[in-house]
Amino acid sequence: MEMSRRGARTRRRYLIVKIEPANTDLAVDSLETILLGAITRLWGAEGLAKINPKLIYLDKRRQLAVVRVDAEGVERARLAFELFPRVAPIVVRVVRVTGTVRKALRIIKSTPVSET
Amino acid sequence: MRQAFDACVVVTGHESDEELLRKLCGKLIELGYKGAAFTTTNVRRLNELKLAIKRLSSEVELDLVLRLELEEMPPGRAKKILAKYRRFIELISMAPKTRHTLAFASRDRRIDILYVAPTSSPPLYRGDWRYISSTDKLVELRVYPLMTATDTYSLARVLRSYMKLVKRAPQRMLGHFLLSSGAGSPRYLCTPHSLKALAHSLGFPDPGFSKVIERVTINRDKIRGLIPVPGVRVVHGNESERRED
Repeated sequence: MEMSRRGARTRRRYLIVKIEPANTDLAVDSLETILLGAITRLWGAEGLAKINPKLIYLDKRRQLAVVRVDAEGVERARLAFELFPRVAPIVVRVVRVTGTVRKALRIIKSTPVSET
Repeated sequence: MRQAFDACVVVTGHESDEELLRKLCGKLIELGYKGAAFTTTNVRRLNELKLAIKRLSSEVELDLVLRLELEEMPPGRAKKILAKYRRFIELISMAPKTRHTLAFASRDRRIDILYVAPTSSPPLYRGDWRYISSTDKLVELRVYPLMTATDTYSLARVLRSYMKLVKRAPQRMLGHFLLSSGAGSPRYLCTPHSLKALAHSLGFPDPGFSKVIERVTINRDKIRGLIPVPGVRVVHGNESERRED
């Protein structure tokens, strides 16, 4: 298994994900469990290690969240969230990918509540 | 994405009411699509659906296309349907389940898309690929079976069948693959970026949006009579050009 060399900074990306349907009352813990489950379902434990997801922000009013992943795992994470069974109570879609958490939060804050 | 096109949004018998079509269009626009093909297997509802699509096209900013999918049937019956409907429908696909039908579907140039169902479709052989190449068909894979897989094992089976198909395809045919959602409701639609990610993950360059748009354009020209026979295009010059001649 490849690991980044010692001292090298890990490059990350921040996925802005939309949670559907609207008005879903979700706790941070349960959303994190769903996201981890989606990734493990498609890519397994090794994929989970490569993607290294972490839920860092949840806006319940706008039904948007920010998930931090390793830069190499963006496409994998996107696919895992999309292929998660639609019979599950929620659907998670990646709407935007940013390079900094500040930009991600700015995008979320600028999104009108009615639009989501 | 500039040219995102969902080549298969399934409209089944009971749900072809305009309200559902409108919801689907809204979701497609939200996800960033520029066009979509509403697919039906029911030839009796074609006229109704065509009218609904015509009405919707003027309302929404989407390039909407009608697609007829032929299910498993004897080639004789398929030929009759093709002879009757080919000149009205922009896209026609076939979902073969036997070798006999698969050979017919890959050979007949009136069929645009060959849908390969994940577990029930017979294998494509070298001769089939040759026909697909010469008739410039697209081989379609859908995301819907991946989304509806209930457990990890069934998901793995569907993925395995897709990977096997792509692996066995000749290298030059990788550009002939087409990925579409196969969704029957807005919940099952997926983003163009995730289709691209799946295409990369399966091992072909892109989800085939440009190929299917090109195919639709050619078929529209054929329906309007601008391409009377393959290789001939009628070009209408304007009045001033004619006077100069």
